Formats: sequence, C-alpha cells, structure tokens
Amino acid sequence: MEIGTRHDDVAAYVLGVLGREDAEGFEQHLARCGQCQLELDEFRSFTPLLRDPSARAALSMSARQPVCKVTRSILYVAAGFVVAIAAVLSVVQSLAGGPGEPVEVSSVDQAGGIGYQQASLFEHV
Amino acid sequence: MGNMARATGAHEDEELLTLLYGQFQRMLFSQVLCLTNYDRQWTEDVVQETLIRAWQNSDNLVREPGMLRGWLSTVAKRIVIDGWRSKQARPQEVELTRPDIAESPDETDQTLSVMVITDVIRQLSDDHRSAIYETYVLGRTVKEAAVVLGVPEGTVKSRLYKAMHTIRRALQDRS
Repeated sequence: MEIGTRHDDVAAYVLGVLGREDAEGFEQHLARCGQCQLELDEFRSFTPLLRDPSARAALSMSARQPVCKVTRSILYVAAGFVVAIAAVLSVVQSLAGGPGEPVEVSSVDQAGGIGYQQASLFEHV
Repeated sequence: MGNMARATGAHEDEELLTLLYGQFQRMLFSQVLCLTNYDRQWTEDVVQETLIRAWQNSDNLVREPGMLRGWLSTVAKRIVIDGWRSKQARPQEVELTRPDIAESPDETDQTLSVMVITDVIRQLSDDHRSAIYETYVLGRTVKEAAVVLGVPEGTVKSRLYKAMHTIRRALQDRS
C-alpha cells in the first residue's frame, strides 16, 4: 500500500506540487527505488513544456468545461422548444385563417414563457 | 558479529561522508548557484541541507555515483523550490524566476514539442487535465488542489501520475 502510493507521488514530485513533508517522504523512497528514478527522468524531460502558454491554455480547458457542456445542451433543448412552438403557432395561424383567435393567444403566452426560461438560463451561464 | 556489523557500518558511513563532501559538495554548489540567482548564502544553505538529507537517508541511498549524483541534484532543486515558495509568500522580496525540478529542453526542439504536447493535453480526460491545471499551472500543492476539486489527496496524486504517464506515452509514440 505504502509503496504503491509512493510510486504515484513521482508525478506530483516532478511537477513540484507535493508539500514539503510529502516531498521529503518521497525522496526517502526515491533513494532506493530505481523505477521511480527512471520515471522521474522521463517525466522531467517534458515537464518544462507544460509551462508554455499554449500548453497552459490547453490545460485550462478543464474542470469548468463539463458544466458548460451541460448548460449548452439545456440551451439547445430550450431553443428547440421555442422553434417547435413557433412552428405550431404558424400552423395554427394558417389553419385559423386570421388573428384574434383565443387558441393563438394562449400559444403566444406559452412561447413567451419558454423565452423567459431561456433568458434565466443565460444568466446562470 | 554485532561489533563487526557496526564496524562495517561505520566504515560505510565514513565512505559516504567522503563521497558527499569530497566529490559532490562543489558540484552541488555550482548547480544550485544558477538556481538561486547567484545568492551564495542561500546556495550554501541549500547544499548543506541537501547533504544532511543524504546523510539522514544513508540507509536507503544507493551508493553508485551516477544514481547518487542524480538524487542529490533532484533533492537540491526541490529545496530551492521550497525556498522560492516561501520567498514568494513574503511580498516585499524581489520576484524570482521559479526554477523547475525539470531540466530545460533543447530550444530548437521546443516549438515542435510544444505543438505535440498541446495536442496530447487536449486528448487527456477532463479529470487528468484539471489535476495538472489545479496544481502545476495554478501553483497549488496537491493538498490545496484536493480541497478545490473535492477529492482525496491520493486521487489527485494518481490522476497526476496517470496524466503524466499518458503524456509520456503519447510523446514516445509520436517521436
């Protein structure tokens, strides 16, 4: 258990993100672990590249993105509803043959309601 | 028997001390000097601390000179980074360029490598990418990032390990 955990520490150690105590513990392990010494050398050969602005930018499209994806799909569904209602409305309008029918007024209210829902979704984004 | 083991131990200790102070002290000093903005006092402290740590780990330490040299310079760099961190925590100090435990790669290969690594990063899972972002890029320790991400420290460590492993493999495949 202890050994497995220490092996994993090599990545955090190379990146310089282990706290002091953890780092000293890992160094104790590193002194006798040939596998970790090899991996340490391999990992540190490319670690400086992670500091490059374009690599940083690629790394920053992380934790926040899944939330955006979910929000975006909700917006797509909402937009779909609006389009569907609009289509129904235009069909109803052409069937009814003219403005002023009670059916049409309630449909317009419904469409307005969905529109508001969409606006509040945008506020959360 | 016990006496003999002790005598052998003492002999090994003496050998290690000779090796550390005779062979590696100067090498470490010139290596560390570049990382501390040529602050000789700070360099001296780092070298002493490194040699003390080697001494404390003498039971584990592989005595083969190549391995020993690697271990010593790795530990020395880590100690400089720790020092750098606490200097950054004090705002009145002059800003320093943070040294990395990693070596700087060859300038000529860098542009191409950056393009490749950026591509590889995009293919990482969100969990793996955010583990590197929340620690290395934002300058947080594993412990701090674990709080932000709402996962145990061990999870952050193993995500970092898997991410680095994936990057290394992808880079090897493309070269």
